[in-house]
Amino acid sequence: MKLSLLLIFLVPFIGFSQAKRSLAARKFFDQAIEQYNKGNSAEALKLFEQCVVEDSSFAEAHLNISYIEFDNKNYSKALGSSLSAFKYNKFQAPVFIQIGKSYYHLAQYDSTIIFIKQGISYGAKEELDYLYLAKALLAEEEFRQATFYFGKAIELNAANATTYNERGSAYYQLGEYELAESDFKKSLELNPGSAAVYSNLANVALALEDNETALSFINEGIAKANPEEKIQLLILKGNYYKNIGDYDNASAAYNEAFELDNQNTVVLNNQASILIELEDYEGAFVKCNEALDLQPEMMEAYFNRGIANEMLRNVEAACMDWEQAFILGSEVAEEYLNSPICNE
Amino acid sequence: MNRTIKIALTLLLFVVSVTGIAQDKDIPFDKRLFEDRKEGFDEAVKEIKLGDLHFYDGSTSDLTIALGHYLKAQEFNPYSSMLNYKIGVCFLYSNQKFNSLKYLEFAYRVYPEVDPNVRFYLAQAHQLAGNFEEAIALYREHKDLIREGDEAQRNYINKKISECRTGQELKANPVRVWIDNLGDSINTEYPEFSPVISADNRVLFYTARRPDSKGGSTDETGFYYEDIYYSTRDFGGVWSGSINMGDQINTPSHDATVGLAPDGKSLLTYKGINSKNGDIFITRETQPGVWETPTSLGVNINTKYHESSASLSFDEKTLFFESDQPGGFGGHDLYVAYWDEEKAEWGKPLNLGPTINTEFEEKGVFFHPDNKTLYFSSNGHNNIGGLDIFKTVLDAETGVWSKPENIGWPINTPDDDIYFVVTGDTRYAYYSSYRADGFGEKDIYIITFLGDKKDPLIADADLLGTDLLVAENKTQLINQFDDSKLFLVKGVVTDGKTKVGISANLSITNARTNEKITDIITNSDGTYSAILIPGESYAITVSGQSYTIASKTLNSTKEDNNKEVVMNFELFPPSAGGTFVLRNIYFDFDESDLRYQSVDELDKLVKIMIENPTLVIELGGHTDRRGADEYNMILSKQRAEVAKKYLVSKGIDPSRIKTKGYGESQPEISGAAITAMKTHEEKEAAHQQNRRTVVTIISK
Repeated sequence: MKLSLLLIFLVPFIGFSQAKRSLAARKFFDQAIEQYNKGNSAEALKLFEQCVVEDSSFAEAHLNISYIEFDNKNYSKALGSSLSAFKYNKFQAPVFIQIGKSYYHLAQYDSTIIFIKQGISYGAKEELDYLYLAKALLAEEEFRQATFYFGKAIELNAANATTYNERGSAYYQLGEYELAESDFKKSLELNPGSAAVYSNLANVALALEDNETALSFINEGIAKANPEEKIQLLILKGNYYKNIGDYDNASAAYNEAFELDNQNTVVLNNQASILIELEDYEGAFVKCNEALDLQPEMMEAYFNRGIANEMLRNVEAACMDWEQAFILGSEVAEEYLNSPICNE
Repeated sequence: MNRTIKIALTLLLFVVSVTGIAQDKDIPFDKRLFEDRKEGFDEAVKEIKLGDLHFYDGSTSDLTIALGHYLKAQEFNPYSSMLNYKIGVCFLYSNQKFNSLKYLEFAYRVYPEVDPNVRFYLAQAHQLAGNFEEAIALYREHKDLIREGDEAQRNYINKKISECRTGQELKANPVRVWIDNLGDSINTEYPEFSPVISADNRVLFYTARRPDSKGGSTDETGFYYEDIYYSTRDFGGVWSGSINMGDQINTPSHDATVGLAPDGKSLLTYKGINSKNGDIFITRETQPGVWETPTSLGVNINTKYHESSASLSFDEKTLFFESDQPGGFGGHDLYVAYWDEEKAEWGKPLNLGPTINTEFEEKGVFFHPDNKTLYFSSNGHNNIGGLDIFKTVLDAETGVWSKPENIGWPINTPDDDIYFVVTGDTRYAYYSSYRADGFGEKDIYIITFLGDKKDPLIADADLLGTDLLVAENKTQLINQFDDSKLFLVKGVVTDGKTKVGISANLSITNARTNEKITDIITNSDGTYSAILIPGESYAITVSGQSYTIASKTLNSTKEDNNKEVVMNFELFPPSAGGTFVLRNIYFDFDESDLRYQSVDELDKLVKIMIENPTLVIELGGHTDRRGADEYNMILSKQRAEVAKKYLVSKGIDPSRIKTKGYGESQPEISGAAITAMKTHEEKEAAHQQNRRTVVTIISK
């Protein structure tokens, strides 16, 4: 990936004047366009492929192949073709955008960001361009930049419920809960049936310590949720009850989520937290182990297993767990590591 | 019915009835009830009488002897209320106090009037067991029976009730600790107590009354004479087996641990003959395992009264100790003495005063190596029964001790809790206690302080998004790329002070048409690039979080086609005295009306003013040199005012914006330099560079 980036910036700028195409290549190209416009994508694809056989430097044809493969959800092929287009024309915004989009669907978000940003700096400015970039930034936890580009998308289309929801998520991650709430509400206004947005609103309400509002959002969301959404909403519900010290209801919510997905590490960890509150340290230890087997870098699970280990009198193991938790970002674990518990 | 069967049934009925009734019924030692077991009855009665000889004498050792006899009688008839009562009382005053409850409960249940004091003793037994509510009820019942005028007894009962209330409070909020027996490397079936510990938790000295004591014989209590033992451990290890300190320290009489200097090299010991007189000695380890003969702490410390507990400060210049010498507040009190370097002896002791000392007992003192915390035991203050451990902290500035604080349940119990010592890091403490999980008699326990409850972490639910790309429409194909003439502008945005690349926002606008070309965010290293059409003039404005603005104008010509133009920017944080230049605020020549193309840059300035609400700035207008000096001065001032007006219209307080016209007085490119330029385009570019608004930060 980095090599591609280097190619962009090290290769001197070379203007690209319109290449002369062979008649045969041109013919295939035009036929392909015609077929595509008639709705015959498969036929169009074949014709474009014949076109590039005739003329491998036909960048537009490569790009169109990429578009069709992309529409067919063949993202690896779409990427390959768009990179071929790039090989023969390095300064076209649509090429950069297409490469970026293809990378997005292959979950290579860092590459997505590089290419789509380049496309935008080269003049691309469609709503979808900004959205892809913003989503990739979100995935890479570049939340501030993500809000900027979501904002650009909203400038172009203020009626997209999803964009507001996504920007709300970015604001949430930045800890700007009021802005997050505003965006989520706008999203809900545009799409009232969205369990996902109810869930996000509940998250914000919990962050703002408005527990009652959070619970009402959670219940609304559960009523509208599909199974995957329901799991998150049940986790929220459990978290709400745990925060108010109602461990029975918290446990019930987490257990219901567990029934839906017994491999969800958040559920496992949070079940462990309740077991710790109820002083069932052995049970908590088992749950933490299960979570860590699935997600070996889960800070919360290490932290909680440390507590369980300490209370089971395995102090050395507890300190090792807190060390892991500290490495993964827990400041409280650092306090424990520096305390007499771990420093005889 | 067959006669044999009849007799068998009768016997069965009798057994069942006797057994059933006896659980809730008093069966006194009445020979008429035991006619068929005369021999056993006579023996039992004899034991009771022997026990009575000691029971009514009242001393603890007598009660122990009485108990032995009573228990033998109990084997014969376990259902006598009076016998159970006496056994309960004996246990209550023995080292097996916890056994008293079931006997006293039985006696009271089957015959509440077995003795006028049954409620009192049963209350004590409940209190010892931590059943504070039951104890309070019984104390109250007993108080109602107290003779009118017997204020001493009434006050005593009131104190017991108060102890129980404190017990309820402390039990409801237990301290988070582990209390563990030190195990059979230290503890035995014989008494082990009075542990003293080095600050680093590596050396433990304690007192035990075992058959291998130096004296080898028992005292009037029936226990072996006290000797001093020690044990060591490695870092993270377990305690080694206990070792008698031998002839260096131990004598045929009582030798007990009293205190240990934090470094573990100076040991305070107690030597006493009887409970009325005992003195404190000190010995030092001169070589590993070699101790000096203990020497008395001197006449200022050791009186003809009873001194039995002491503790040294970290520098061994301050000594805390207990004494029942006259002049105190009652019972044993705590004192402090300071080492006199000149006289090489301890100075006159000072009573620690009424904050610490009470009319009751204060004993078992320990001064922590932190040089300010004092632990001691008392059955005054707010104890929950017997001696409790308290702590008080010295304010070094005022020399005042804080109000002693009970260190809490379950460390403190309703029985005596004493000889409490804490390690330097306060993670552990040691004390002696009599508990059900012991090896017999008092044992030494280690307390691990767990600190505040650790709250487990919950992981947040994921935020839910939508795959917004699912509903994407069919893609529009490309027919032909737009191969317009293009040029590349690229560069890096850096922090003006550190010169490190920073993330920043770049706006590129066509200066002629005000069309926004692009808004981009630089890469994290500050680099950016953009493709532009040559032959146009572009306004590039750069801004960043916590920075001011930088702006430049890029004038391109058609000859720039296929070329690269590098344009770098530096951003500075707002600071008083700092300046930055706005180049893309446009006025028509000789006009002071703001061109509509200027708002983008001014909007960025508005944002900076909002993010820095205390910023006060000066807008300095500068013109090029064309036109008269005086005229340009006025024009530049007017332009500055217009820019200010725009900011005010966006909500900025006008008092934060000063304006000044500099006219052509401060050109960036001098007139001479412009004159020397060869082309018209170069000169125009230079004039344009001189036409600017300089923002000066007056205060931040």
